[in-house]
Amino acid sequence: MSSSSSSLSDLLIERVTLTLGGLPWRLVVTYRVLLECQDATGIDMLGSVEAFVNPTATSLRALLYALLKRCDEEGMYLRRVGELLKPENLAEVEAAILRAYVVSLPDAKKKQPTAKNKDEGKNVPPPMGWMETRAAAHVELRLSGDEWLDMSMREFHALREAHVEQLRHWELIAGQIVAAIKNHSMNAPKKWAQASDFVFHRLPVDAPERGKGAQIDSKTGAIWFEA
Amino acid sequence: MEKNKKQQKPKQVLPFVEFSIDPSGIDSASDPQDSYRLTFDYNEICDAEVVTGLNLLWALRNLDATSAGQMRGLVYALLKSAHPEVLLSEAGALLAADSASVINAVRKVLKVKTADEAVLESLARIAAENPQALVDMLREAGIDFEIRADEAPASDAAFSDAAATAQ
Repeated sequence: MSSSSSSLSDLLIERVTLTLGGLPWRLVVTYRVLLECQDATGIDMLGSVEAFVNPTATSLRALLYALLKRCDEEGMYLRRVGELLKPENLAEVEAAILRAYVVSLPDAKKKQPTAKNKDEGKNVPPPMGWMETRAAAHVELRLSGDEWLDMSMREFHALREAHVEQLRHWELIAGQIVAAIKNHSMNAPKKWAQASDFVFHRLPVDAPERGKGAQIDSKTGAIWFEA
Repeated sequence: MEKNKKQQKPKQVLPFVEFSIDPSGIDSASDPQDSYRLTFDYNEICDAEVVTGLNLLWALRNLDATSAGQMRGLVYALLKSAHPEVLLSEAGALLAADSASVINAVRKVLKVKTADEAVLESLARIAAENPQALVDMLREAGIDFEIRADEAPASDAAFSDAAATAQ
């Protein structure tokens, strides 16, 4: 029941086990767990870490319920989870849930060298909300609802990073063709265009100066190039 | 259907701590009693969080630093299993009447040690691990003490030696 269930997420993530009611429970924080907890508590589980770092009695029970339900969908209900919690095991439960959350998070982004230090911190995107994450899962990664919900955040972002890497590869190939055409045209630029100028998903080190290289207007979709 | 059956199973029997209080000091709408039972039921604590709007898990972890509201919420939650009719205001009235007894009972049910209990426990641990160190420590502190041979474990040679040294 509790220990036998193992999905791909179970196998790919560090093992965090909690013994409750004499049974070992494997804790994996997936999108489904976060969503169920958000539904029960009203706390934004994607945009805030409050429920893990400073939980209330209610949010701890809701989190534990969602985590245990992954392993035993039939036999688990909210008040039964409350019955499993005792003064002696509260600290252990809290620590195990926090650990399960930490191991489910994607690795902190390695600091990549940037072309211009002045731009640092200006273009940091806000964290993805539920709709953006769902859209990325469906459109970019072509995941079904269940496939996405059964993933940990670590797994999802690893897939997304691989997807962007793949996009970058195809953009570079297209960029080589466009750069060759431009450099050998009748109105060839004095400074030759580089293939990386036409890559939209650039590595920070390849980012052109503001206003230079290929640009895309986010509203109209118009593309232009400035050498 | 089966799930519903499971949900209807009899409530588990929970250990409780009983405390007495002078009913004359309680200002309550219902008839005050002279003894109350406290029980740890996590579900009642969650329900009390909804009633009070306060983080009672934080209060459980930091019993010495709780606000009056959190302590009242905890007492209310711990009373609720044995006294389902209790009101939040009545929990407050109990605390107002005899806070020492009530807080002491809360500590017992949550298994939080008082300062004296923690000191005694650490002394007992030192005595078990290194009796001579305990004897030296008490001597240094200038505390008069006596070790009776009948209290020393027969098998613990170190303890008997320490007792002999002390005498």
